[in-house]
Amino acid sequence: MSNIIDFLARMGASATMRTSGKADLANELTACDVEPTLAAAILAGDDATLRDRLAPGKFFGIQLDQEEPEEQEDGDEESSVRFAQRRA
Amino acid sequence: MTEAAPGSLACVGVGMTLGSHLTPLARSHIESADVVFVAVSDGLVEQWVRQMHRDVRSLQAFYADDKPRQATYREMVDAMLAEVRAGRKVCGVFYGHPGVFAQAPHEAIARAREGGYAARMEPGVSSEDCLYADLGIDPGRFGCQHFEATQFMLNRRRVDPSAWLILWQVGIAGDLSGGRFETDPGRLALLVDVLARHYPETHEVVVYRAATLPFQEPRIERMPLADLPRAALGMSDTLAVPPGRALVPDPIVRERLAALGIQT
Repeated sequence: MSNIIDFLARMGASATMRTSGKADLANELTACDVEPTLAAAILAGDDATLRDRLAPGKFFGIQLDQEEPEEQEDGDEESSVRFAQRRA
Repeated sequence: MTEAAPGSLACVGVGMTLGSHLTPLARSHIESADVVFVAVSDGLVEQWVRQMHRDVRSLQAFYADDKPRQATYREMVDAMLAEVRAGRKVCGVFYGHPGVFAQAPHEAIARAREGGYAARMEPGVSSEDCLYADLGIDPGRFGCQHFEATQFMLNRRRVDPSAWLILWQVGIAGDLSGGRFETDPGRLALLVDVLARHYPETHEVVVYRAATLPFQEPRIERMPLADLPRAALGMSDTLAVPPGRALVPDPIVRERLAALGIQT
């Protein structure tokens, strides 16, 4: 597990690795002793296989929701601005 | 001078792409914390954060399908603040920027400060930042409006079609339950109706998703507005609507500015 995460972290921080061709990337994966199935997934751009193997399950990515206003004095623009400022 | 209580909270962002965007300061907050809470959208990114600290606790466990997301966010805040109140140095790690389209970090920081604890937020590279780079948009050129997609549908916003329009969380557009993590063609058709007040249905729009892994490419899918209901959208997708008309000059202001130039 850790060597594939280390590899991804190193790749993410390397201008060379992020722009290198598949042959160079394959060499890097071999040098880092990344498991062949996972290496093949990276080379194929197959993130689903990688997640299924290493971090299965649903990951939620929504962190903000709409809250309907509880009160509003009237519909004019000035009171709407005051209302938003109070809630901020 | 009153000293803050011993517990503290720092909310940081890891950026969008694993390994690419973490700032030295954010890493330092993570590594020097007593306990780290993590809420990121990709399990591999969570594994990466786990390598930075011995006590990393995932906030994903608070989510569930059909559970009100407001309850999830409250529980996230409560979990972080319980450790702050216990006198521990807490770091909350969020994907992207911890203060952009993220409710729990703002709420946690506000409540920690109300309780007399030191609390701060450190910026991260957001999806918005990646969008500008990947789509080649400079928000200073024509301007750029940003709205949350459901809020945009539920309220009469003043859309400026001469600027870019970015709708976030389009993958849950039209959710009134607060517990869904997907949208559907019916809700997207309604969004198209709202947008059609300002743009022709032939207007090209872009579905965008930043890369979270370094070997991925960002999703950049262009389509006519009318085709949006047939698009497969996920939680991380964003809709970018290019300007649909030219900027409209304001002759009165131009004349007044010109007059000022003559006077000076």
